[in-house]
Amino acid sequence: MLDYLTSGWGLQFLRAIGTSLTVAALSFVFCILIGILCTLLSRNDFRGSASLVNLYTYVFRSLPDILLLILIFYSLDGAIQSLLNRLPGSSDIRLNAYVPAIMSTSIVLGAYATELFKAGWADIPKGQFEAGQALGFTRVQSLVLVILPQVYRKIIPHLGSLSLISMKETALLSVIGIPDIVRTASIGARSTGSPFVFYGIAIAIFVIFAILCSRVFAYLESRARAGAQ
Amino acid sequence: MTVLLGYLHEILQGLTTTLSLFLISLVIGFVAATIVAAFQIRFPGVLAGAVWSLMFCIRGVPLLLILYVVYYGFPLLPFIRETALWTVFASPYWCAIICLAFVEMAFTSEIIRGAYYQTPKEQVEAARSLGLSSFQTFRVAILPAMLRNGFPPYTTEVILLCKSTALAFTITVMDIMGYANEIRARTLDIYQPLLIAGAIYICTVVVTRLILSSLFNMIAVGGAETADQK
Repeated sequence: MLDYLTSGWGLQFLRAIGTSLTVAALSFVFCILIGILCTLLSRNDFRGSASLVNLYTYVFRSLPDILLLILIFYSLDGAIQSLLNRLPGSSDIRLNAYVPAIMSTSIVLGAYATELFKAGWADIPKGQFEAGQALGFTRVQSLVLVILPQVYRKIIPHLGSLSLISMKETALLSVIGIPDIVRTASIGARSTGSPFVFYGIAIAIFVIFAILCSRVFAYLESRARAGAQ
Repeated sequence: MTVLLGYLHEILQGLTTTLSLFLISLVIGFVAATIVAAFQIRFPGVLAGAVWSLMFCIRGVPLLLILYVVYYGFPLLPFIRETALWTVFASPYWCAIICLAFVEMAFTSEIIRGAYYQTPKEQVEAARSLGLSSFQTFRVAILPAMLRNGFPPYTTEVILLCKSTALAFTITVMDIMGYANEIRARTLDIYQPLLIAGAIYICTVVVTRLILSSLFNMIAVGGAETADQK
């Protein structure tokens, strides 16, 4: 195993870990933003937006993630590329594949995040926005300072599993061709003929990430609980 | 339009594969999860802790990676290649079922364990003080509560499993996604085959949800009634 790691595969794996972690972290952040935005939309007085959000979460939670990823990835890729080509004097810009990749995972995970935020937000009265306004907060301030901390405290255990899901979701990007941990492992396994070493390393990386994730979120949860008392 | 109907016809060939992948791995996964959870509850200790850690690790690893290990890695092991196990692991279909059931076991055992520990202690003590045996206590006091608490998360898990079956196409299983992907590669039409496949998956999930929710109503209410009658 050490032979492989020192003969260049170690560097490949380090790069793959960087890719996977970056994509996972960015999709995690963006899916939470989508979740907050969609929850705000669904709690809007305008009824149509609520049913639109419901449609989004229902459809996206009923379709296989891999199908959605392929569909969104290719449509976004084409759309952004043709948009870039419209710009004058920039016909030779090639889009980095990571942009549609991160966007598609964020949109898919956003459906889960929206459900999570909607559940955590459910018993927070709408009057809190008005109370915030009465105290002189802007809407954004009362969102960030008053409402989100309460939602956070309620959904923090689920945020841990969401972060784990976003890490596992990036593994699917290997099917599209993003050089993440799984893709690097399967290329290594195929070209050297020792799959157990390469898949074993990949599994170890995911397990270590899962353990770290559960530790971090257990700590955050205990801190959130201490803050609530 | 005729092209789309042709696509639909071709993709529908994979429906039985998808459904059988889903149902067989659901049953195997549930039975295995019950055994694992029962072991953890019945014999708490170091061994149960080790089992829990193993399940935790399985839950952290993407299904795609597990599929690759079983499909590309296992054929290299001599004790699989040279024994009767080879007949199972040579087929991508059975590899997919084994992987799906394996992952399903890890998630479901945790749901069962969670449902068991959610049952109020007083309920169990009350049943015991009425002179019921431990099996009767389980049947009357614990099982109905477990079904009520565990069914909603289990529904989510079943839907997730139904969606996960789509990954089987990565190891050359020709299910709905496999046919859609084959059309995509052959004709370079991205949207039509994938959207048709998506529509089929949505129908499958909607039907699954309906079946599960009517099952939940039946079981949860029936459980409450038998508990009251005793």
